[in-house]
Amino acid sequence: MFVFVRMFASKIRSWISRRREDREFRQELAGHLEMLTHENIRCGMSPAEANRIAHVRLGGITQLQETNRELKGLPMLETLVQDIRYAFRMLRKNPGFMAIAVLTLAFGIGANSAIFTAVDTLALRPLPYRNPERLVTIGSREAHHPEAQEWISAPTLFDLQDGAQSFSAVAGISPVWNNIVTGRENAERLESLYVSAGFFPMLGVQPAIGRVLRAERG
Amino acid sequence: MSADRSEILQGTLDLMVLKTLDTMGSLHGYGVARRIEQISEEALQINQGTIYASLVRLLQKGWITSAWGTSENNRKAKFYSITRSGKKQLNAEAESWERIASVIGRVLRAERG
Repeated sequence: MFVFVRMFASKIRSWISRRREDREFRQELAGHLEMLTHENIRCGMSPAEANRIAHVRLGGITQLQETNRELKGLPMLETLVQDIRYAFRMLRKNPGFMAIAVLTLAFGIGANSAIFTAVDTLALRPLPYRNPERLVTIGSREAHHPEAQEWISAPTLFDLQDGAQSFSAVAGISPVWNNIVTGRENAERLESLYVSAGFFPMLGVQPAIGRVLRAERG
Repeated sequence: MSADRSEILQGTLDLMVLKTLDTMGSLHGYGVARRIEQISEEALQINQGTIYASLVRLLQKGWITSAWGTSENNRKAKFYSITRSGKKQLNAEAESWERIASVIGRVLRAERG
């Protein structure tokens, strides 16, 4: 893994200074040829023959340079650009196919982001209250019925408020179903609850308008 | 040289270059090529240019480094030397090479029965 990162970094460096690297490689090959030629002359060849044999033993210079460039370049990037161009050309040729592809992507992305939005607010983001992880709802179940109810009776609520040791605060809420007429506009249904006096202090929130009910006034 | 012989080289040339730099210290591309040819008693007649592809691969992996210097005939040349991680890699590869070679050797020597 580490080697891969190092290789990638090295390729990027080479790509940035590719012209210099090209020149240096040419110099390197020229030096190599010269040493080979010298060796051949030492072995008794004529200078022309020595030079020819040196070229044969080194291999084609153009090809070596090409290989060198390929090794140092960023083939991933180059083929990627080619692939994208090819894809666009093909899509232009088949508008029907393109429409299907675009629609599929659009629906896929749309559905995904809708689901993510729901999951995010429901599960990922904490409730905007003080200590949301300590909030629980209390339900009840009759001794002979297996099914739990999501409500408790008012006397039970008072008993819990007076006697429960496990909770630092217990508040009651109860649904209200009513349409609230707002001003002169159409009637609008608002979500509302009856809450007991301790509800807002328990959540640690302040009302946007007005003030919170206090126990001694209730 | 034939195509299948160069294919054999591809995988092993890097290892040979690494080993050469390990024993010889700092060397230029020509030196590496000559040394490999001599050690192999000229059995490996490579295109000396293929050494450079090997050197680039090893450089990119950080197993060798390079620096410009002066060759014995007073010419500018690039000298390569093995790095610490290159030595580690050489040990690991040499070991696995010997293991594979010995396994193949045993399989090939196995007699009927």
